[in-house]
Amino acid sequence: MSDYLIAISAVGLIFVLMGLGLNLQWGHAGLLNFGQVGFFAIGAYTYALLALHGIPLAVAVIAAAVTSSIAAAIIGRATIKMKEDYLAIVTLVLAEIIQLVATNSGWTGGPSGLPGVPAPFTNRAGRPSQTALLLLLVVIVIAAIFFLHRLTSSSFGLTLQAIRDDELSAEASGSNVAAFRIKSLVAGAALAGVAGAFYAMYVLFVVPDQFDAIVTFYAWVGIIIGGSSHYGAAIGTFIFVALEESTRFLSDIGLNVSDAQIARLRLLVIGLALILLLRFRPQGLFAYRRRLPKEVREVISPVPEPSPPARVVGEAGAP
Amino acid sequence: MTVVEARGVSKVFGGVHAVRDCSVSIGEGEIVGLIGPNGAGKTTLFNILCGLVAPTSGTILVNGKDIAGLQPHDIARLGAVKTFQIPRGFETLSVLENLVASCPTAQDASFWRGMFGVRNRHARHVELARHAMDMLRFLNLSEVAALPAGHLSGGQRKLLDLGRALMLSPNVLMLDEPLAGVSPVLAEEIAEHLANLRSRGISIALIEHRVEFVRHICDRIYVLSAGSILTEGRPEAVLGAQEVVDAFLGVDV
Amino acid sequence: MPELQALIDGVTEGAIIALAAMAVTLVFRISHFANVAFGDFMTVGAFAAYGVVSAGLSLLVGAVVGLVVTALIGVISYYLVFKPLGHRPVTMFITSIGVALVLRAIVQMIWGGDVETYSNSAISSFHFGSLVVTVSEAIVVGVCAVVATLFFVWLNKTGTGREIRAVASNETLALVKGVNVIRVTATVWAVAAALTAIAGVLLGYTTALSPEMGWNLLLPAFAAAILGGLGNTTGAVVGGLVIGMAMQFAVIWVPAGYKYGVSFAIMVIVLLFRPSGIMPRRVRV
Repeated sequence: MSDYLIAISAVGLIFVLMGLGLNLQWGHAGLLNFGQVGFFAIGAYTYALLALHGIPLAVAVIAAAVTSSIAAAIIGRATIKMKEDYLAIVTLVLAEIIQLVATNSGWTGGPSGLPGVPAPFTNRAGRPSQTALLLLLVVIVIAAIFFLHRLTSSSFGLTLQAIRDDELSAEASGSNVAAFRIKSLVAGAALAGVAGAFYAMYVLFVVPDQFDAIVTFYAWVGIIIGGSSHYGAAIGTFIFVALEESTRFLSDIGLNVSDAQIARLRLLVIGLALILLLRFRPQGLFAYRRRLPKEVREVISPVPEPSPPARVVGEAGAP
Repeated sequence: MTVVEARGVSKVFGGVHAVRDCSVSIGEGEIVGLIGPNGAGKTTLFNILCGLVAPTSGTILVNGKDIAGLQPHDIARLGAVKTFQIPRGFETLSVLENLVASCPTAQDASFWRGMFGVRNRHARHVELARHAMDMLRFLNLSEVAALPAGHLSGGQRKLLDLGRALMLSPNVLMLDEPLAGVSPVLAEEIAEHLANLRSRGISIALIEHRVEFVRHICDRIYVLSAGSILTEGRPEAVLGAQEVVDAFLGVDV
Repeated sequence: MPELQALIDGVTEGAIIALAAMAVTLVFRISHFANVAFGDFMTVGAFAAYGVVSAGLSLLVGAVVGLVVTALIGVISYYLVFKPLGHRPVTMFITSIGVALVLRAIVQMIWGGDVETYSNSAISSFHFGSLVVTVSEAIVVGVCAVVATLFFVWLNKTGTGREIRAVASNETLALVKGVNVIRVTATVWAVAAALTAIAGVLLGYTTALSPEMGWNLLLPAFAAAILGGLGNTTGAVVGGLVIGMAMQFAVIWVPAGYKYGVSFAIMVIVLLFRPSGIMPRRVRV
């Protein structure tokens, strides 16, 4: 049982990283990124290729973040003027292109991909410890939420919200709206890239089939359920993905359903989730609430001076 | 010293001359009005002066710099800030945050510092908040500092717009119909604020339809008709001229 | 001669893409969002026909059934799912992804996930020198041409067509002038869905049926619609043919796996450099 929990949790947390990135892009910067799986793929392949060539694993993970960031920077600059729904289609298509390239290129291993990807915490017998990887993921997810929260509660985050409220005014007030958007896209993509590296670490091989558009849709459902706060996006994504992943093991607990049937059910659930959520609870569970720092709040309403002690009429020494 | 100068500006939209060879200059510490009948091209010329629309021909200099090809946010940082005819603002942010968000340079909205900054993370923010509170007091909006901007009345929004523009410490304010839909009392208040700003050396260019206001507050007026500048000068001189009256009444000049 | 053969094959696939592109562009014009579910509408139409064919009836009957079923689904999805969302293109876009997945799941639940075909009869073909035109290809092009012609006649010469164009250009004005906007929109959805059904059946007829068939063709269909200018049905036809031919041409030189990638590349290039599409601005039908 614990093996299942570890497996479900690991995949869940990997998706959480992707979802956190997507949430920054959509929930905070208003970018309709439907190609998140593309950055995920770039991260996975980067890590796998470097690790297979003997590069230290930590460096390979950082490289995964870097390559997906570069891809996002290029895509961001090119698409910055596009309207939202056009951007959605373009990112969807670009992710498909990435998957096509991965399938048809020699250096990515083609359709069979890259097997035998090195992972950390591998014992002498060559078996990597999934528990250790899970713990590492927990640390990274917590760190990600922490830093994302700092970012969005800073002036950068305030400007992002201003841009979402009224882009024209933000631009007229001197904010380089394009730059803010691109930076958000890149940061979100970096997270997806890191998620991809961890995915490669976890499943120990990289194959183009792993990077279907459905992966992006998983992340979208997760952040829609969870809402725009970072912990909300994390919770929503984790629970959704964990539930979906747990269906893989239904047959093991005696339920007589084939894998194919489960896959279809999962598809149905994602589809219904998207339709129903957007209709009835588009803001999700935990919307982001901005709180001004204490010092700033005090500027608005200063803590009142303690009132002077009441003077009794007739006392000696009255003013 | 001229803070805004436009030379030979024309704008053609699909074969129609919306603006035809206009030259405008705005000096330091003066209030310049742009008036004219509907469709005369005032808003187009204004948008060109602000850099929101590229002219078909002509040059615009803001504080001595040619703004051709510059993005709106760069022009705002050059010192010329525009407000919009229908007040806009950041609806979900509080009034104070609206002002703070309108000054990204001072805020130093850096990605890296936002994520990893340690020292005095909030110092600048507090400084800016203080500056914003002063602005709110100047505009008599301090009571609503914590209110979401979306809850403000129309008149309050107008004032907030002005405040947001001022947060950038511009030396030129471009106001597109600052009195549109505003009550007489508020109009007085706005006029006072503008005079106050002028005395601090800030130049103001405005489009307005209320002739009395224009006569009262402007140092100079440009009259635009059918895309060209009909005449220019002090209010008393311009507003009495027959050709100006004719232009407004629709008589062919 | 491979290039000419590619042209012929390209026209066939392009014709099918054109129908799907017409559907996409129609709904974009009337409901103002990109409906990603139309790919799976194609799949539904194709499989509904397959169900009929498996029961022993002819493909023609199957096609009609598929058309009706899909059109119904189109109208139902409009009333039940999309109309209540109002005018929010982003929400509707994401919702359409949900609809697509639901339809795909249902298709697989009913018919399984295997690849199927309509019939096992040998394919007969015409030969012109070294060029091969199969009978099915000829039928496909013929059907598409007929359907497209009927559609344009309907759009331009009938009262309903006029109402549709009115709603498409200015919904409020049309409403004020007494057009029943909701009924008109539902009609458009039905017609668009029917177009996708025909495309789906033809696709199954010339290739094979699989649960992914519609989704696979959806992005090239979008590429075609964008190439022709979103909202421009004539452009959709032109775009479809161009994309079809381009894909077939490209695989003469490029690995076959990249075939659809060619349409993606075209879409990206168009969106980057001429987002309004390649059709001259005056042509807006």
